[in-house]
Amino acid sequence: MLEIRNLHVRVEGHAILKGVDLTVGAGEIHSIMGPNGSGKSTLAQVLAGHEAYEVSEGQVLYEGKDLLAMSPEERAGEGVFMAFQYPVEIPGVRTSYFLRAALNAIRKYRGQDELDAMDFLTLLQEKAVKVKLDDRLLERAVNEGFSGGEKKRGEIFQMAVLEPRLAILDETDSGLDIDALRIVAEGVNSLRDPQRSMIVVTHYQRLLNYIVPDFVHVLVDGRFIRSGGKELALELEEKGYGWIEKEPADAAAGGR
Amino acid sequence: MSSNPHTTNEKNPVEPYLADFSTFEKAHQENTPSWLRPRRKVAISRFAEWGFPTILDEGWRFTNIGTLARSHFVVAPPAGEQGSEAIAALLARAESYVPGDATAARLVFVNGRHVPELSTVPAQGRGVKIGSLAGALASQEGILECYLSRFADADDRNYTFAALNTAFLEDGALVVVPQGVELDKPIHLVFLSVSATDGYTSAVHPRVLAVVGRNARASFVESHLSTRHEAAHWTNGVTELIAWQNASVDYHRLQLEDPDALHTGLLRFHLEADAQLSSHVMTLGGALVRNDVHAVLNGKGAHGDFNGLYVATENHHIDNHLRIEHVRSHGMSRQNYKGILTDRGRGVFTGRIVVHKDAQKTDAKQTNRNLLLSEEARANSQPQLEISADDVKCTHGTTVGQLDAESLFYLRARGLPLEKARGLLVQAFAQESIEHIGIASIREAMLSEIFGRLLARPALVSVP
Repeated sequence: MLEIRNLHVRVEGHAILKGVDLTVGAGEIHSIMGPNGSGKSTLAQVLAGHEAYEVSEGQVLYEGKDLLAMSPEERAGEGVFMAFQYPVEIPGVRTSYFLRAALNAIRKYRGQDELDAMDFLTLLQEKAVKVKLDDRLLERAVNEGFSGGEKKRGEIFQMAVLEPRLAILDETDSGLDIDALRIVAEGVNSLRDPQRSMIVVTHYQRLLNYIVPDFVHVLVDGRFIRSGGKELALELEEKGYGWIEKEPADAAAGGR
Repeated sequence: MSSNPHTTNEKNPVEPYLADFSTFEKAHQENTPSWLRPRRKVAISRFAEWGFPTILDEGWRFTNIGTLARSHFVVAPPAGEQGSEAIAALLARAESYVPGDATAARLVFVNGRHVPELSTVPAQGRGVKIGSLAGALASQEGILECYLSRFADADDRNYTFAALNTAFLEDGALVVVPQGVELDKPIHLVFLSVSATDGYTSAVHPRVLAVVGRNARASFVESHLSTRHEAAHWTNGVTELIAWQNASVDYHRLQLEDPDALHTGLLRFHLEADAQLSSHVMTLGGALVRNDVHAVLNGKGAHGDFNGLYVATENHHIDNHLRIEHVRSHGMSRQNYKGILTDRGRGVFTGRIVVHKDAQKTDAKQTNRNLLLSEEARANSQPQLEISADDVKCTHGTTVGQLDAESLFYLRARGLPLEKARGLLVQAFAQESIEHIGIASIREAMLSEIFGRLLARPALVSVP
């Protein structure tokens, strides 16, 4: 599904990622953990195609294609989705209108017919129920005036509508209280699928109580310094990142 | 003769207008009411004194109207036979946003003159008057003497083009909505300008006088449309609107002229106590446009909303100049102007809030936001406050910026191609201004007019 090889990324001249390798298979959930400033969000943004990040070395293959050569919209068309850490407010654009434009753009990219208004509405209602989203939000401008929890839930809802093959959740847990976190996690879990891979970027282990990953990778200073199963997250929770930073990097990279 | 020091060394551009005025005055000697003659005379002498403003005049710092001063614009002749096709096309466009309706009033003017065959004036009863100014002058309507040029002609050189309009005042619209009468359909005033000269520069000076009585309610749409002319053409309009106590007025001024049009327009509003005004000035056409809005909130508790949207493409220049005066207490005003500027287009906004000493508890707010879509587009924005009362709330805010990069990325990351994402954000920006318009067909038409104009620009946006 996804293969990242020796990825180096710079932002405004500063090296942020310094050789990241990661292989994600179909249907797998990988969690990327790490302290603030380790490069977690940079990795997510680079995969989604943010232009502020400069790839200085390395390669990313997505289903055998060169992901880095694609524009953000092509990546979306190919089935890549990132749930933003800070979803952008877009006054003047209704959420339902925006989502229909997005879904139809993706369908068009894939050579499928556009959905008409009625079919789209039915789909929207169905997905809103699935991820427990108050459908009144759909008639409001994109993220405008949404609470932190509503924004994050909105991202998961968009993911449900757009049905990506690779979903990257960038600190979807940040700023959520435990109830909101649970609702968001339930939404994510309802979207688990043998054909859908996920990369869950988080600072805290608590999200992983709800979204149980297959693999956990620890990113420190732009490199993976440890990878393991879900128990690695618990160990980190107990001992903190300080513990692992002192350990020699014996098990960098991989997943498998 | 001219006190304008910047033109004295050259041929004074005002002089041909004085000669035109003599001819005009003679031609209209018969049908001019006696009270109007001195008003025209005062107006032309003011114009003679003030002349064409230059960028050294405070109110014109960012707007060079050299194009107007360099040519002599004669009063446009009536459209000939060959104009009828163009007129039909322009009318069809006007009908796309205010559909033809046998029960709604529509006055159509071509090159400044009322055309009864194209107009619809259903009987309104209840003392409502909707008709041409020329007709009202001919039949000696008493209300004209009382109100015509009472507010729009001030002894202030900012009114130099209003003075020119008054001097050549000939036709336009008169609307009177008596006390307590509520009109539910908008009155559409359609000003069309079609090429009728053999290549010489021409002007029209349309005039609107509207009086909305106590507790009355009315909605107006003043449209300006034109075809491409062989030579430069100038529309110099003046609208005076008086809203009596507790009257409620919506006023839409839609400037949709062709890309070469020169346009100056004054909206002069006078609001008495508790009157409610909602004004919308949409400027989507014209090479050089100057819109003046001068509102005097003369009565306690008067409320004015002033919305505006301007779109400048190519090398067009659009200047919106507002002066909102609070005279009595508890008044409220909201200015909300937005500009979309691309190519080498330029937008100028000046919003002046004047609070007189008796206007305590005034609540005045002003915002101006500009969106620059190209490297060379420019915006100037000048808030001005002049406050003589001590218990008031006045705020202003200005932004000039490009499309937000993070918003663009967000939309693209959801699959929208770059052009579509840009289009959607531009639409959203315009939408915030357009959504205040109460007439759905106008909202839709303005959006498509905007995209029609922007789409013609290279690699800019696509309609979402």
